[in-house]
Amino acid sequence: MRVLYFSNAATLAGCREEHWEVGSPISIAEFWAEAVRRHPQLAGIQNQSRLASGGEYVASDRLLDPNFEAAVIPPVSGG
Amino acid sequence: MKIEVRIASSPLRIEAADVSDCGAIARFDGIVRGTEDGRSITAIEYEAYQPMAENLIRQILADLHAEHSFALARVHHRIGVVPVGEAAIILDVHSRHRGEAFAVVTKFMDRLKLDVPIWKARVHFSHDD
Repeated sequence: MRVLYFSNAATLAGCREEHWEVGSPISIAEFWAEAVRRHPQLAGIQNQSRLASGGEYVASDRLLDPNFEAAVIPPVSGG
Repeated sequence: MKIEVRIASSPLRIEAADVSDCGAIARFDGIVRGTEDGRSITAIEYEAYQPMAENLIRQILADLHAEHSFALARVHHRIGVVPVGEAAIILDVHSRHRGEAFAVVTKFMDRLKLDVPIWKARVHFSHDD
């Protein structure tokens, strides 16, 4: 699964993009567990960040399909 | 109804549009201020999750159209380094009456700041500060 990090998530992860070997859909909790295992500093923004899959926000009860790119979306600040 | 969305690193410019049967054009320019948290700055650097941001802007405008009819809405957002005094975003809305145009501008900006994946990635502070 292609995983993208933006803004301070990219700073904390130390990268903007990485690839995870994921065979089947994973829950949001499983996503964060893996993200924090790889990049412990992401734990600090987990509660304020949302996840997107395939370019759409993911509801808390949905699974992330590894065939679509996932993105960590920290609080936005455009405009 | 027509929607135009553009996210790019070049300075923003929206040309006049020829939209018939519209009595109102409401426009908002979001300009980079010269101070941030009380300190002088020279620029703000923006980043975007571009495909998602563009799709979400279109979706928000389509939602707003169902509530406040308009003929044309254009959103141009700049990414990369935006110097003080230049626009980070320009939004203009063309509608039959002013009420719809003002409402769309206000509600769109509120939604943008909540949901659209665009960030102030870095503030460039003045060297003498």
